Amino acid sequence: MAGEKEKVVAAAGGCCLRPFSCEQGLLSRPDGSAAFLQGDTSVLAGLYGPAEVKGSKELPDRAVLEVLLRPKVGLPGVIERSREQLLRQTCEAVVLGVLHPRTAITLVLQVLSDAGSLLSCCINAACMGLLDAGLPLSSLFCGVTCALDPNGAIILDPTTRQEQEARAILTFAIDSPERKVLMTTTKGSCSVEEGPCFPP
Amino acid sequence: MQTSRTFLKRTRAGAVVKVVREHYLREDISCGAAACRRCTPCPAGPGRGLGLEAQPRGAASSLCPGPHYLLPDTNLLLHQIDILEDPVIKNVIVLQTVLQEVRNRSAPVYKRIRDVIQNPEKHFYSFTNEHHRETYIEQAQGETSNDRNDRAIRVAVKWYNEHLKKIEDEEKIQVIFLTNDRTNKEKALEEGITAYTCEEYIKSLIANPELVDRLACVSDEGKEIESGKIIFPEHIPLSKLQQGIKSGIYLQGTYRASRDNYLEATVWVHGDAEENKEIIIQGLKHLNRAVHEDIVAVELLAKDEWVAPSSIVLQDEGQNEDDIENEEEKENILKTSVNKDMLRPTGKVVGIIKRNWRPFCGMLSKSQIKEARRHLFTPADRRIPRIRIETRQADTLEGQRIIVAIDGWPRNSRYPNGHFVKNLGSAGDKETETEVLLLEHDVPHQPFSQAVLSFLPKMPWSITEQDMKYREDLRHLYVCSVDPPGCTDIDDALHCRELENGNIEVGVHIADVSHFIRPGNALDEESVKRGTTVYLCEKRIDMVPELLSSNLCSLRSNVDRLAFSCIWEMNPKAEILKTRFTKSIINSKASLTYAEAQMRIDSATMNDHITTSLRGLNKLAKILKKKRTDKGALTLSSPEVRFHMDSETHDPIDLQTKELKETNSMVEEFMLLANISVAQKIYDEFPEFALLRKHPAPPPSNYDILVKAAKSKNLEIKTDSAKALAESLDKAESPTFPYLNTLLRILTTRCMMQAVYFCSGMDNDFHHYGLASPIYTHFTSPIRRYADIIVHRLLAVAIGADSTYPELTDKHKLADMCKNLNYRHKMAQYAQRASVAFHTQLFFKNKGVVNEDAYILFVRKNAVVVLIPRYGLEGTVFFEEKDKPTPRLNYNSEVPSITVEDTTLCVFDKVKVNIILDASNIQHQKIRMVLVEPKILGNDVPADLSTEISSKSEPEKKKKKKLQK
Repeated sequence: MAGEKEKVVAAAGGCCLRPFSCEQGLLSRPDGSAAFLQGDTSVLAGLYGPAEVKGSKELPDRAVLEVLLRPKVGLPGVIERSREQLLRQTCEAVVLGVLHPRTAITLVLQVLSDAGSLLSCCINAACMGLLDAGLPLSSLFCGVTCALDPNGAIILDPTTRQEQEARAILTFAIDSPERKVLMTTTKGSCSVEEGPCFPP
Repeated sequence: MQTSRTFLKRTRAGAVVKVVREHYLREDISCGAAACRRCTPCPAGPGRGLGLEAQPRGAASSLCPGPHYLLPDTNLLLHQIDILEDPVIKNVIVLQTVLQEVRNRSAPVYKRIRDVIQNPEKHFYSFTNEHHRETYIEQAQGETSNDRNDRAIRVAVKWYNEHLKKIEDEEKIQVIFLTNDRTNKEKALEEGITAYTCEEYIKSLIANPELVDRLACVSDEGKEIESGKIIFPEHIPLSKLQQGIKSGIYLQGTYRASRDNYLEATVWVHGDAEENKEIIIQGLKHLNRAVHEDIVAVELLAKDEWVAPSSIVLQDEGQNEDDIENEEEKENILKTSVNKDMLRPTGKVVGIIKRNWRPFCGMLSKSQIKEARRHLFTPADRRIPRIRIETRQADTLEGQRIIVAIDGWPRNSRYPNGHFVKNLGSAGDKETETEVLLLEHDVPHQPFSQAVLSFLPKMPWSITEQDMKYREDLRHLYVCSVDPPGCTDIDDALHCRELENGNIEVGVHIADVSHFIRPGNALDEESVKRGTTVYLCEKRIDMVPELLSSNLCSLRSNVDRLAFSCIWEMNPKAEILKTRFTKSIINSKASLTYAEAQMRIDSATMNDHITTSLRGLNKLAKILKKKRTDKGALTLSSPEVRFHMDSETHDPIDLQTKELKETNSMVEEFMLLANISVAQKIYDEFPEFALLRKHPAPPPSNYDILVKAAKSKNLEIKTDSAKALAESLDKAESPTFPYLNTLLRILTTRCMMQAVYFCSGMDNDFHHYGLASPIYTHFTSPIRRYADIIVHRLLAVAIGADSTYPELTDKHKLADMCKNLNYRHKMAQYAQRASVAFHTQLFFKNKGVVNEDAYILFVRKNAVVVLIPRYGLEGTVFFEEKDKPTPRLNYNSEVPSITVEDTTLCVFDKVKVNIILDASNIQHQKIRMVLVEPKILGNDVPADLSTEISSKSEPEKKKKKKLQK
């Protein structure tokens, strides 16, 4: 698989995604669900809501959005908490929560396997899940991870190994109509020129 | 950039923060040696020492005769900081690696080493090796961080040696690596580094043999297989303790040794659990080397092993290690008196979570063997065990007050091991004793550091335009101050004038200390640490430097001073119509003493502005006081004494109780009013983080003694409310016994709880019981209390005269600060009392033996507590004495009274006592009182006591001489 990809990547001048696929509505209990695969990375999203909200969390003007990220093994830690925050901010930007005040929307993401670019896969799964639940959204969004290898070349959708070797890893969430960046996070260091140049 | 580390951290509030740490390396870091021309010389700024000397001339060492710099490793610095602080040790390189490790492991040592580095005399240099291109190393795979740091230190030593070789001087400077770690030393020698242990080096110093005493005796782990019986069970390692505490097998608590019985202690368990709050530990093995104030883990014993707290007084007198059998006998004594109801949860110490060792004051008990170098040290605090120290100067240290630090307590040793730190001076000496009591009560009393003084305003100081911005000019008002005689820190002044509408304007002007002490700087930090000014009998330990306390902040007469004013408009009935707070400038027209002010009010001939305003104030104060007492404020009494000092020797020559004049209560009344007004204002403005003061109502059981005592005189004291108490106290008069009322008030004072500072957001009971005020704070003495400075800042923000800062509006930080302030106030009070006690002793030492009238305050099982009104002195008269047959004692707890042989003594009885200074224990001299009247059979006082005392002290000296032989 990896070897295959490298061939493809070489052909495409470094910019190529791993094969991805998605399956919606595969769970019966949640209001919406989706599984998203990017290469060997896969995440399962379950969506509940709009539903009743616990008193203390209730917001009078819009719905509360709660994101829970479950790792493949063990309990969620600090890294998961930080990713939950990023995901929540992304989703809040597109979900029209004002239509459902005093309710809660819960998004549960279960990591099935991590083979690199996990956060972007989570973003994509979240979007497909929201779509499946039929929640009113202002737009769609997608996530993409890119890595800067030691030579400065950009690798899209890196595998775990590529992430380890990379000088810097950047993840973006981009919305569909205007291709605006909804969220970005970086790890490692890169210069301003190398960094993301956003459309004006 | 060398490395970059990114990690996620969870904050206390639960949010996640991403932290990115980048590590950079440089080439321009100076080596610090003055002779080195290759490095750019390090800038000598504030907070830095002068660097290393070009020609290091430290103490001559026989091991390394040439010029050298020293480079200690972390453990050495941690354990031997006492040595490094000695003026003899100079030219030391402190690596950043070492400094960081020290900082993580011990904050006090870190502070001390920072102070040493800043001292220009010492020529200590801190080298930032972690950021130097040639000395930075990365952690190798499989290497622990400890090993990595050791390696980093060795690399730095090597680099230094090579670097210094390049200096073109005749004599090459060497860097000597000091480490007590054997493996580290071996590795260093392998790499060609000159390395010694601290002991080797210190012993090689030719001119300074006394330094050896200060070496901390920390044994290497390997050396622990010494001979000798193992006395104590092993401590369980910390990781296991934590597991045990989590699962509930062990309990964590603060260890408090008993003052009277060295084989007993209690552990106050942390947490909110209702049962097993207090656990008794009995016996040497169960105490297991814990020292007073340590945080320990205890394991509860089975119920059938529980014991009752013993009432026996036991003092550790053993000299040798071989007394263990003896100890066991003593332990058995404790267990004899078993009463089923008295049994308390009993446990044993299984491990130490945190040691709270500090340097201890005390005296040396010389070993009986003449040539011995190991001696026992007896701390002044009886709760601290004796400490074994090694010294060659036992002869010079005998009879001196010394400071000793504990180094460790091996399993096979009866006493902890320690080392000598400092000699304070000979015991009984006034300066020495003052130093001891300051140290023992943890009163920070070192002179203010340069860093602190640098934040003082530059002299000559004058009020600038900038200062005038938010201030009102009140210089035209006739403001005056009234204080005790000899007062130099005047923090309050008053004024009073009639307004055109017939109302009266009253102003309280408080020194604006918060103008000079800005939040967060070194001066502020030092003041908050000190918390309060401590007044001793002959000395004052200032909270702020003298320039502020006695000059710039002191509201002296006829100079312009910055003030914080609280101005009321009142009607002649003393009802407040309007309250106003403002920062101001005042010019006090007179600083009076209480007596002078009283004289002005009383003399009919004086009618100037100041006198009339004093009269106005006095009139209002009386009304205010009446109102306050009507509401149920208590007028309490506690005997306060004042010493008349000899102007030359500063010895007390006379003792008298403080007299209160009308003017005292006049000033007090307006201060209370100001405090209450300010408390209300800051609480209205900041309901969550106002610093207030509360005085909780005492539990009803506290009043038992008072009620019983009053009953014996056929008086009734009602204690259901403060008002009822105040009224019944006023009524409790006896025509035949005028002093009775004062005695009752003294007793009432003893029933009270301690008033404390607190943060309004952390508590909901604000009531001040003694003053009968729903809210109260301290605003009027910012020169001597830190709480007032915070209140000033809050008030300034409330009226828009100053800006706020984050710490001020953080209720957790404020609550922590209150805790410290309450602690400092308590300690200051104890120190004050100790100082009075010491001066009373001095007074009676000079005076010889006296007989005085006294009243019985309390009756105890085997003694009575008496009060001598003339000196305001309180003392205990015991009826049992060593080496004498015990008289028949019969205690009646109902009345309360005690019958000794055939004489019955009751509370409030008038007696005559004989006062003598008991100097048989030089460390704890005390006033001894013997009953003279009524006479008790078998407790006769010899006719000529003075001769008896001298004959008593004689054999003691002889005994000592014998011991020396």
